[in-house]
Amino acid sequence: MSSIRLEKVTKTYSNGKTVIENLELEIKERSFTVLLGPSGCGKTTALRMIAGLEEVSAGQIYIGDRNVTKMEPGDRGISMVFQNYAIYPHMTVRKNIEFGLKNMKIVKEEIAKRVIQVVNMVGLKDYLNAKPSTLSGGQRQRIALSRAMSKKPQVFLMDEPLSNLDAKLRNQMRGELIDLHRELKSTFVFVTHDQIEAMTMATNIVIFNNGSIMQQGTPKEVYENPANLFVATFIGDPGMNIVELPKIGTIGYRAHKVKLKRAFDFHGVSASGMVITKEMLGMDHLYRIATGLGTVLMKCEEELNIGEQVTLYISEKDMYYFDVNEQRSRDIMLIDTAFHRLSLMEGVTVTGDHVIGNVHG
Amino acid sequence: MSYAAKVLRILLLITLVLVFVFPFVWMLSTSLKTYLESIKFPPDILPKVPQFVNYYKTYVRIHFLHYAMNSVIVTFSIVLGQLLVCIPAAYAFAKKKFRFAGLFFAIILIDLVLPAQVTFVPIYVLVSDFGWLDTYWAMIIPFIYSSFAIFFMTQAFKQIPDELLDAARMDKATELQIIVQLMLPIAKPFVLTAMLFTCISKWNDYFWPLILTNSESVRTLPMTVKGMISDTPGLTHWNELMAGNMMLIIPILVLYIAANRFIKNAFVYGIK
Repeated sequence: MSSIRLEKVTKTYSNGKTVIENLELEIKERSFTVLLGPSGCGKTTALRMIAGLEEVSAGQIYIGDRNVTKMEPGDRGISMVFQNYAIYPHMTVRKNIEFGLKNMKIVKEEIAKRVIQVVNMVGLKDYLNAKPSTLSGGQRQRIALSRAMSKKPQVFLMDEPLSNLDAKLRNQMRGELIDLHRELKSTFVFVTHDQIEAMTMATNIVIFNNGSIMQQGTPKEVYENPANLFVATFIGDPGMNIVELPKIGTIGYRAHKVKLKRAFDFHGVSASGMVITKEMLGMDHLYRIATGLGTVLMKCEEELNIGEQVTLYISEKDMYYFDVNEQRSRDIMLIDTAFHRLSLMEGVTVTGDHVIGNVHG
Repeated sequence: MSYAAKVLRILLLITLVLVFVFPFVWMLSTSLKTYLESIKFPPDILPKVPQFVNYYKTYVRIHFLHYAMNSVIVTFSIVLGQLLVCIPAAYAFAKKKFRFAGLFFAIILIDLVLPAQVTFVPIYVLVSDFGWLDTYWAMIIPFIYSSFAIFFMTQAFKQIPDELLDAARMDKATELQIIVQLMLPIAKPFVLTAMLFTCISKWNDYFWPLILTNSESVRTLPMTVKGMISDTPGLTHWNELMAGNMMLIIPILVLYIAANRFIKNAFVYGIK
């Protein structure tokens, strides 16, 4: 059993600052769970509490059926990979891997067998006797990975393990981690602030902000159905465009749902504006366009020039509504008032029977 | 750098070398002179015939083996004691959170700037109350604590990333393993440097043995060498005195040359 359960976990530092309060979290067995959030949101603290490197101020942590709240890190049956690799710099690759195994009192023959096995998995078998200082960043992180694997843990914890690697290597390692997760059939808990990492690797994403969980779900779920404004603007590249409507709520829509042409059966909002910046993304372009709705991010294949006048069409069905508490809302009343407010904005036109009927009726 | 600046720099370095090397050369040369050559004015730089016999005479005269043995016992006990006391202390200051850590460290820093003359009365009283006067204990126990060693090694240990200790904890390492198998090997240049400083200062120490001992049975090399100045009233055998000094510093010199690489590492590169 390698599920992880946090029950009413609170973390208060000795200076009196509470970073996590009454956290309830369940991480499924064999899942690749990513804890995602901006820096300082408590995701790393949560991970370190699971590892046992940080004391739990209140609450309980279970791994499988075992209550590990008071257990030493080495006794929890877990391995951890760190952001700065945390390889012992004075030991060879072999010694790095052996160190933990010897402490686990594993017999010599078995240690030797496991060392060979894990270095083969990460492709470092020619470097067994090399010192870490002679290896590249990617190779060092592979040592850390193989060291973690050699203990055959039920749970792998990873604290931003890719953020010190260059972009190309990071992409490659993402793929390798996905493969590894499939091969090892154990639970991966991965902390990152990079939503692309989260979206590409996770089977389950837990989004943190200010010490609490904003939403939990598959990458598809959190992208297509954000539960609140924070998730809507945090997930996606870029996050949702938003229009704040004081005392009513907020409307959000994705940058690639902003169209330049009016669809045949268009119902929604159109706004005229001017292109102010342009980023070339390869196949797509990302434009910032100044309109009556505010600055709109638009992702599309069309070529536009800076300064060009455009009319943008955002379909009603691509819009998300959030109430004044920033929670997702499907309340008809709220939507109607929001559209009415939109129609009063300069250079913005609202089209659609349902909406207009309500506004004028 | 311009040509003139280069020349100026080399001249400055040569001057510095001369300032530091000359006394040493003078000591070596005097130690090989006859008595008459050593008091001759104006002096010769080099003796006509090197008098190696000076070393033998001094060796016998100052009971070299007896005092050298005492010096070795005292110095090495202090170094060993400092390793046992100062390394755990430095580890705690660098890597552990505990109550009043800041205050204790401040006290250590203050002790760093206090001259020995301030602490010698309290230490004398303490040692005397323990009944340790005129024993090895008097010259060892008060000095196994060193503010400098703790301060220096704390700074070194602080450079070692916390993640490494976390990784060791995940690897089921005990605190002792973390200190002995991680902190020490990684901070080796710093630990060796601190211990070498202790070695040099305790080997050459004249002040504390003078205060804390009365009899020749436990006294150390610097005291017997110093004693040569006045062993014959009105007459100092400078040549033999310099031979004695050479015999005093050679072990330290050898030690320094052996550890030179680490000292340079500690001061120039830090922990990679």
